[in-house]
Amino acid sequence: MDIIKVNQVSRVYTSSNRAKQKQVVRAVDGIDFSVNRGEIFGILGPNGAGKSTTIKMLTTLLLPSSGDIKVNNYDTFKNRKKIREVINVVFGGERGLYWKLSGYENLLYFAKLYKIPSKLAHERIIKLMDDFGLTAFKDLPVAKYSSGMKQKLHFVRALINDPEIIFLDEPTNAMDPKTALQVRQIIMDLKKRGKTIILATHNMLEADKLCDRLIIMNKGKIIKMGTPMDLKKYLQTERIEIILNGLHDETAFNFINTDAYTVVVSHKDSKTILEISGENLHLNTILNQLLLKAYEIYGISERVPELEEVYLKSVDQEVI
Amino acid sequence: MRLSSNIIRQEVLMILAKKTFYIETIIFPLTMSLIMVLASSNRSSANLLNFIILLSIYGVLQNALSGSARSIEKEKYQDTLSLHFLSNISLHEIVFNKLLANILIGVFNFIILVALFMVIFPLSIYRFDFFITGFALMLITSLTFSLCLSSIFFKMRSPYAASSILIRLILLITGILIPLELFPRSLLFIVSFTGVPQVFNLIIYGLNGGQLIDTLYLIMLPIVLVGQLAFGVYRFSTAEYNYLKTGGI
Repeated sequence: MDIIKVNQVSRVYTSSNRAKQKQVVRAVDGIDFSVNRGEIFGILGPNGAGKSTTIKMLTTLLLPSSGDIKVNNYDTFKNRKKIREVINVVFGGERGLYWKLSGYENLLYFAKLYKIPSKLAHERIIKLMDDFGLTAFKDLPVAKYSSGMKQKLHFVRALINDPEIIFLDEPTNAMDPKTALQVRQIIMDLKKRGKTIILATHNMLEADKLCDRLIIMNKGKIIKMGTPMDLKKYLQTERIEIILNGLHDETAFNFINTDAYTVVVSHKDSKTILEISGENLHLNTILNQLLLKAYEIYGISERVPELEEVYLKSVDQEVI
Repeated sequence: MRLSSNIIRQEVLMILAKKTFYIETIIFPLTMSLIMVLASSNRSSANLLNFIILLSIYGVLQNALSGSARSIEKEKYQDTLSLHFLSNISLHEIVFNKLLANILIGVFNFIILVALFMVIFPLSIYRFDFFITGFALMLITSLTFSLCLSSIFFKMRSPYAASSILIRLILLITGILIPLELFPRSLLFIVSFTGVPQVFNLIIYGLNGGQLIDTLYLIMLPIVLVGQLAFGVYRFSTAEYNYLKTGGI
């Protein structure tokens, strides 16, 4: 069931320069997508692709210039107060917290903004801080928190009103690998708790591991949409790796290098590695040809393309 | 307009945590007053008190307007402003509560400065009722006038800079640097729509006597205050929509 429906949404910014000429920037250009309840939905794209503008519109903090957005069946403008009751946002990095206050005071402040009764707020804060391993630091000013602790505090803050939908804007940005891993684990735990998560990120590994479905945006448009596996299939090229015993010259494999197939030859530990890619690879034919030429086959493996390759190819094609 | 003790408390804590707080709010007006007295021909303690009171009133207004503008600018920069909106707090509630917090700080400064003065010089008040009325009106004027202007400043990229320029203009034209009695009548009529000259005059009259401002301006004052409040509320009622429409939060 759709919890978010985005229908033909555009966002245009108009600014005028020194010569008083109006400049129109289409930050988001006619996007359509829907998010299912309980899934992790990724929004990928380079800087300026329109990710943050999309997140702002979804979270009722910006009006679309055209089109409509429904969150939990409510319109993001007409019923924005209803939507705000069921959502929250996690910003990446250092934003969104009061540094001079302690972690506990920050959370209490936001809990009071949500009009959560004091006793319930205190209990919820203590429980959440415990869940996220922040109890020992609850009275420490946020300025003294490490990046990882700050990010965890962002998550706790975002859970203070027990939202159904959580928007994550670059949650692991500039984070060390260990903390990033912890944050990914938190995201998976939130999904297990039935939360719907919208994840805007640059990080392909993160998107690949976490997202059930995702969109790739560039220049305000959605250029690809699907599951990470669907998107990888988009490359339409199958890739196999054949390892041959012995070191062989690159030119010896020109017979495979045709219009349909591409061969990249490399050498490692007295072995020759052929990375063959192309549409509708006929593995039998290739193997027969190699055996006929008396090559000794050491191993064969299929190579699945990385999401990053799909992303780069999609964005590059758009640039062209 | 809903009172949020949470926002007021937070704002007060943030202001008090500023390293330069006491320099800006107590040492600066005291030093300025001394300089002004030394520069003037009348070097009496009564004249010094005049300047201290005037600068304190100016301080309350400045705290209300510039303090709130600076705070909102900071909240925008830190992205905490959008988090306020997500908790369904409206724009005017945020601004109103920040203004109140900043006015409270201004009152605190006022009391400290007067208390300091009383330790140094014996203080006699000419008309206590006028002084108290002026003081109460000063708080209300600071709130309504700032609310009226904040709605205009809110969309600006640097509301703090804009409000600081404005507050200096007010300082210049509402009786501190140019005495009210020297104002041409037409200019005084225009400036009195801020409500500030009337308040200055009432407090100073309460302290030292002298010339009371024209009754017309005093009668105008309640109308001016209601007008400012209505304008501020009206502006804020449309500001949120305009803000969402143009640049987002």
